[in-house]
Amino acid sequence: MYCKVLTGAINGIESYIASVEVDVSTGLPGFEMVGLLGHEVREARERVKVALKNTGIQIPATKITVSITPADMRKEGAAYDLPIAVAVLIALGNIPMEYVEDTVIIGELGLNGEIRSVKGVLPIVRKAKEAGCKRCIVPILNYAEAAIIEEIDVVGVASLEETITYLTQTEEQRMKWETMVEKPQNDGKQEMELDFADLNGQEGVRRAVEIAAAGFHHILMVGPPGSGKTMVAKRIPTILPDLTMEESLEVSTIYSVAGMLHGSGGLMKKRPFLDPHHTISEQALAGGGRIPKPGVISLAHRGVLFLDEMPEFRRSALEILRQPLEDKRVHIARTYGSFIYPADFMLVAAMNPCPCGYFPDRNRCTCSENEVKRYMHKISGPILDRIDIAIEAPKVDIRQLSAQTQNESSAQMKERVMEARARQEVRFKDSSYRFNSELKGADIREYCPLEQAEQEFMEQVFNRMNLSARSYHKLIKVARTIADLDGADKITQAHLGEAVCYRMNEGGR
Amino acid sequence: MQNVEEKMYACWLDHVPGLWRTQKNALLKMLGTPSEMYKLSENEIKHLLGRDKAEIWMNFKKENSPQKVYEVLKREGLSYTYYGENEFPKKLMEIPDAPFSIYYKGSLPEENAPMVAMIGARRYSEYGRCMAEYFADRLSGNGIGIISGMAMGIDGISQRAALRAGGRSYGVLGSGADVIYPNSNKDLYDALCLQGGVISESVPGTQPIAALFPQRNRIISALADVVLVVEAREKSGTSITVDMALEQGREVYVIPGRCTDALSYGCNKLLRQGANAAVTPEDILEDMGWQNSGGVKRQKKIKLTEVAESICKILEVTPKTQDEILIELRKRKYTYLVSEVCQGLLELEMKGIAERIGGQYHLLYVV
Repeated sequence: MYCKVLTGAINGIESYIASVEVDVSTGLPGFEMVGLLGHEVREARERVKVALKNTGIQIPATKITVSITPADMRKEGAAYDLPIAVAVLIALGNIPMEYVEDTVIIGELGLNGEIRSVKGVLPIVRKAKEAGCKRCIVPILNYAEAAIIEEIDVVGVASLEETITYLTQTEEQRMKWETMVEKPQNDGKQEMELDFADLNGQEGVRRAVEIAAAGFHHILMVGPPGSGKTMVAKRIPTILPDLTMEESLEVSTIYSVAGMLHGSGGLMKKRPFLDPHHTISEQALAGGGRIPKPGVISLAHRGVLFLDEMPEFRRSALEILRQPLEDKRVHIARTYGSFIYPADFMLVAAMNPCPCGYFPDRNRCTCSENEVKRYMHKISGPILDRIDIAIEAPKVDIRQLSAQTQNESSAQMKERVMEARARQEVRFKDSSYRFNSELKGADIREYCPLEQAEQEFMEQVFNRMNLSARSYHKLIKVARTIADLDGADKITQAHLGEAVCYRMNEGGR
Repeated sequence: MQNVEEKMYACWLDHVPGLWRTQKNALLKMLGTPSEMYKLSENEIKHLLGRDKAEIWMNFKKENSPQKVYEVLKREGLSYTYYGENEFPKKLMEIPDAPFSIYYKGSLPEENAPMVAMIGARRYSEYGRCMAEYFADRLSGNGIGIISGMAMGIDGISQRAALRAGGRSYGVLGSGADVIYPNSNKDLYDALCLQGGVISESVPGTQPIAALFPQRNRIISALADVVLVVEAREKSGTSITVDMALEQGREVYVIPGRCTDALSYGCNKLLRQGANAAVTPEDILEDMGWQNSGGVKRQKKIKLTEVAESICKILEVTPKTQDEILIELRKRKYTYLVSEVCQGLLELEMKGIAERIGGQYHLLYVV
């Protein structure tokens, strides 16, 4: 007897609906599987057979043929276990075929029949809804992420037995079925909340970071060891605007594909903060593997990518950032196809001014002029070009550290950021832009017009400071954000003036 | 024509391996002209310099003719002069260990032109850089030539500033005059050839080795009337140059620094030992009796905004980064916003009062 069960699969970050066909016929007993299958999928045969046996179902000695379509897409992962098992059961006549109509089934089987979590449930369920399916059966551990998608019936199952029970019920009983999910425990005791209130002094850095957050500008902090660069960076997500639902889904999808969505209660509500160690490889940064997993830059999508000690990163790894910084996505080509992962992150980089860290304090710094230059040059020009704001983090005075001062909290800073964000939303309502930092070429002139006096002022500054043409656009974008924070419609000299102070040191000095 | 031939012989002699400078000088003194030295027979050389050197000498004579050696020199664009010749700088003849030959590109310093040698560390502070540029600029603006070693750091900075001011500058190299070291000073080398000269005592092609540098320093100080120490650590090559300058009877001037700055320690120590203090370039001009064409330019009082004024007061003490300035302002109970301080800093920069280097703001002069 022949039967067909729907399932879903992911290809990069895209998902598609696949189907599992099973035919049971007389002949030499056997279990054949076809359909361009990867190793894990082939091994499903053993898992399904044993899991069925341990659930108390005997497979008769017949010839079973399993075909997973579309046949030209390579199948990876263990999420086909459950649909294969269900399809076999239907083909053997244990479950009526109409019970699985318009139902997408995914899940990995344990030998004892339990169902384990799989990757990419969120995008698959979303795809199922788009394809007009009515129901999704997913591992109970993935229920939270699957349940984010509304207008589709999501059922979480813990074991093969439970799946069979569910499928063999009447339609009425099914409507009443409720997935029993344990509520995430960690809601009560959240991890220590970071707050800018913990940060004493550092007014200049605070301000720079606020501007960066308001316009989603990439920022570089330069300072001696112990100047609190890391401390500042870790607090940046606390002043970024909240994720919108759409953004949240994007981020959750990436985490779902990476299999990192457990324990977050389904949806990613916080902006991600990623701080990879400087020994990170190119593959880990951009996404790697035969079928690439999302890399760190994709996991930082819509959030903060913090590169501490930036010059210590492998040059080849840093160069990878070029395309994502420009296109907001990363394109990875492999034998099995090319994959595009979103990578729209805010780059926060920190570095020492020289190898010993104390330049330009010549009493402490022992580096030669060349060493200082070489250190700066470890970061290539194209990368520095894409960073809008540079700020010096000074060494912190011990008195400042111990002082009991009232510092501005993240909430206060965020309020201002949100106001600036709102102004940007109004400005860009007819375009695809979201933040000032994204503006390109001619659009800069359109959205950030300068009046005659300001134009002249800019010319003066340029001649005086010997700035490059590239810095010009960066400067105007930053000035636009400063004006937004200021609640001003026009960019004034004051805004431009402040933006000039956040320029990159030209020529590495 | 006689002159050129003598040059050829001297140059040839200088290329003979294994001869000491003192030997060459003594031979020249004894025989009068380089051609006489070339004509020495093997026995005479054996008698004068010993058997080994005679053998090297004769071998060299067999393989290299004076014309050939001199051709190579010309091909490299180098000029040559030897001790006692007309072109040979008189200042160099005065010193006890005068060089036998001088190779140069560009020109040699004019006989009576006033010269200041500016020396200092390869590693320098921003203060040192500012001072080197300031002094070099003002001195060359007054027609004083700047001599230095074309090295990294203070040397290069001073010479570049001198050339920018349109003055003449001469680089004395430890390597051959055709060997550019450090490579990053290629531009300076080329500029010096046009607007001054590059001078070396070593045979062309000589690679820069550490041992050659102290010797080159004696030429720097000898060619100058005044040796100006810009910045020096407690122990540095600068002190060797200063010692030589004193032996040669040159005036030593020192730019004073703060007591706590490691890079000014050597300078202040020299001052303590009785060196002249050069607080302004005009000090040197006046003391040496060189006319001062520019006169002491007092900066006109520039009108500043309130913020800029208070920032100036803070920067007077030491250069600071933006955040450090903020901290200082808070200590003094100012409540300017960050954006206002940025304005003030930009104003100072635009008016040429302050400069940002490596994230720090430096006051270029006291307002």
